[in-house]
This record gives sequence, C-alpha cells and structure tokens, in this order.
Amino acid sequence: MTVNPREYDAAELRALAGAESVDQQGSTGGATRQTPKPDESIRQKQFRNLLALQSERQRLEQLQRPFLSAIPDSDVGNDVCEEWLDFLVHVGGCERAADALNYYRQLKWITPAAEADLKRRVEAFPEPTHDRSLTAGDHRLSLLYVATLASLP
Amino acid sequence: MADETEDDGAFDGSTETSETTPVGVKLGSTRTVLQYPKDGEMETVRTLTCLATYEDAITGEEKVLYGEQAAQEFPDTVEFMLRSGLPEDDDRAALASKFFTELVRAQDIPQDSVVVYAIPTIDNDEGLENLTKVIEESPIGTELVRSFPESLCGAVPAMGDELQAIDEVFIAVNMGSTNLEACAYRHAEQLEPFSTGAVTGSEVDRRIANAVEEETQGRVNIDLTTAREYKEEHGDFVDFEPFTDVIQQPGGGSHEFTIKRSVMEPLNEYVDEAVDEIANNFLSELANTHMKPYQIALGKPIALTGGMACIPGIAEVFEERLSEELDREVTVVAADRPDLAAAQGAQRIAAKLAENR
Repeated sequence: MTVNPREYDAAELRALAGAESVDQQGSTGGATRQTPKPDESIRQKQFRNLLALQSERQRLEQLQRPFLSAIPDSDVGNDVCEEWLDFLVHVGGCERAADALNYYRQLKWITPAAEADLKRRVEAFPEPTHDRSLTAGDHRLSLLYVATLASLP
Repeated sequence: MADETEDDGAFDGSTETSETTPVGVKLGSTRTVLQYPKDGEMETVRTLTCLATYEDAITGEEKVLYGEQAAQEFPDTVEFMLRSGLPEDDDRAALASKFFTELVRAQDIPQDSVVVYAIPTIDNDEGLENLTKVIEESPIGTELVRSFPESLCGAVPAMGDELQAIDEVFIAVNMGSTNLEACAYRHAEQLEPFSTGAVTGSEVDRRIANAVEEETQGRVNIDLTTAREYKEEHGDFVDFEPFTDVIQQPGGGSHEFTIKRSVMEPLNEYVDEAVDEIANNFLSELANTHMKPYQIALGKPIALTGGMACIPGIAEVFEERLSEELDREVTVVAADRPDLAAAQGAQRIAAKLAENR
C-alpha cells in the first residue's frame, strides 16, 4: 500500500464524482524555471507560435483576411477545432463563446460560413460550473487557434 | 479526552445505502481533523496533533494523553510528532501511530470503515513510508483506505456542496503550518504540484515571538504556542485591533503590555512571500508547461485552504496582491472553515467510495 498523495487514481476519482472520463494529456513537470512572470511567459510563447505560423503563411501567400474560411475537413482539423471551442466554452460558457465567434467574424479572422459552422459545434458543449468574461489573453489564444487551423491543409 | 467535536449540518455525507462508515482524516502538523457521520449528523473532531505519556502513580502503567489536554497538562514533555508534516523517523512514526489509535478509539469509529486521508504533498520518501506504517497500523479503514493531496481535498468544500471540484480545471493553494502547497487540477489530474517549506504558518509564529520581544523592547518573551494563539485570536486583515496581555515577572508582580504591530507585520510579510512563491514559481512553471489549463484555471476562482487561510480577510488580501503581481484580475475562494476543509473533502470522497462498494 502507498499513501503517496501524488499517486492517486484520477480516473477512480472522476468516476466517483460522476464526471466523464477525459483523455490523459501532458505530463506533470520537469520543465526548467523561467524568469518572466507567468502571463509574460505565456504571451511570449503565443507570439512565437503566431510568428512561426505567420511566416509560413506569408511564404505561401495566404495572409489576406479572413484568415479562416472553413474548418479543415480532417481529423487533426476537427481535433484542433474541438480543443479551441472546448477552451472558449469552458472559460466563458456557450453564450460568450458564440459572442466571441461573432466578434472574430467582425474582425475578419473567420468567414460567416466558418462562424456558422463553429456556432453549431459550440451548442454541443455542456455549460461549465464557473464562467467569466473572455480576456485579451483568451482572444490571443483564439487567434493562435485560428492561425493553426488556417495553416492546416 | 481533549478534543473539540462539532456537528456540521452543511453536508451530510452519510450513505443511506451502505452501513460502512466513511471517514475523512487530515493528519496535520499542528491539528488533526476527523469527520464522519454519527447518528445521522456529521461529526467533526479537531484536536492538536500531540501526545504525552506519564506513569500512573498507583498501577505503574503507562498512560497516554493526546490533544489539547496533553499540551496543557504536559507542556514540557508533549510531543508534536508531525512537526515537519510527516513522521520523520521510527520514533515519531510510533508516536503518531499511538496518537492516532488513541484518537480513533476515543471516537468509537467502526474498524470496517472506508477512510480517506488528506496528505501533504511533500518530497520525503522516508516520511511517507513512516506515514504508511501509521495508517496500516490504524484500527480503522479495514474496508478501504485511500489518500489524496491535501490541497485537492481542501478545495472540494471550497468549490461546491458535493464533488464539483473533481470535474473542474482550477488551482488550489494550501496554506499550512509547515508547507505552502499549490497545484492545478484538470478534471482530478494533478498538473505541476508545488510545495515549499520556506513560507509557513510556523515561521509566522516565530516572527511574531521575535516581534513581540522587539515591540516590548525586550521586556516580554513569549513561546511559540503563545505566538500561535496571538495569531489565531488577534490576526485579522479586516479589523485588527491592538490588544493587551499580562505576564508575571520572575521577581513577583506583573507586567501589562500592548501589541500593536507584532502580529500583523509578520502576517503581511507571509502574504507577500506566499504571493511571490505562487506567482513567480508555481504559476510560472504552470504557464510554461500547461498553457491552456493555466488560462482556464486563472479565470476560475483559486481555492484557498489550510490553517493560515482562517485568518479573517486573508483570502481578499491574497487575491488583491496576487492580481497586482500577475497584472490581471484573479478571484480567490475559501471554504467556510478552511482548517476543516481537507477532512471535509476527504470525507465526501470516502462517502462516495462507501456508496459504490
């Protein structure tokens, strides 16, 4: 028997709470320490990713707006899209996620057709227990998803 | 025996379908808390984690006292065996085992119970092995035993009336006597468990004792127990008021003194240091390794637990200073009784385990 609290069975706990099982993602540590504050660190990472995606699209002459005209019809495209919408709904709830998509269409990040498709998908997500307004950081992460989806074949 | 029991009507974790008693246990370095259903009510036992033994003058038998009674009657020999959070050696493990056995026997908890322990996440393999022995030798939990991180158990009552925390993405911060712990949880999975012994409630007690000596210009020396009592009774970020106390002089007579800043200055330093550790060590690491959970979790309330979270107003001050440090708004929530929260959460998990058997 071990009483090490770091070795508990998360799946058992989720089953007890009546929560749906989720795919195990990521690892629990081992990264080196960074000096920037957390938000700075996260922004730097997002900007680096955006810059890389932008450079690639510039090379392919794909930089005109709207950036995303349709969700790529592939498993990877659907997975990325699912992850993005899961994030938006988990943070802000279904209504704010739909409002955000409307906003992204106004900014010409996405086309009206892509907006309609995404809004349909949003309806499939359950409402979170806690929600809040979306922040600039959340929209930046959305732009990263838009750029990622646009870069997929 | 010396302990406090109270009824908690907020959540009845008893199970109608099972006769197995679900017990939540937090074996803390300063206080141990047990929670379990008894006669249809939720029973909470809160006692100091300490033990004293003495020889019966008539029979010559060894007698054991624990909790407040031991601390009051044998202040010179009383042993706090979990001072570092875990039993560090065989002797302390034996004392912890004796303490826990005495405690559960006094409560008459059935042996065939389901017991969930809330354990601090400290990197100390030997201490964990010793704690395993204590739990294995315990007279309860023959039906089932589980252990979960103290910060997760403590967050359960802070996040809802049942087990909502398990299906959330959130951050929990446990402000304990011997450790400051933090962890992000993603649907019960741990992300970046963090623990430091540099920012602790015990260190606040030491600083209060030193500050009292300084504020009274060397006329008053208090021990750490008195410092802890000052902190618990007078520490208040909302409405602190200077207070007076009296000491007996060695040559006779008494000396009355007033404390204006010796309690709140160490507490303010504690919050500043806790904010620094959480923002610049724990959250930096989390942002670096788990970007999306970081974004989601920081948008949700941060659950604050542990004995230090009982200081009135500390959650609000921590929220304000952490928001400033991160340069973004965060919200902090605490359970109604942060000192009982870990045992409450553990009991709710135990209730579900018992229900499913």
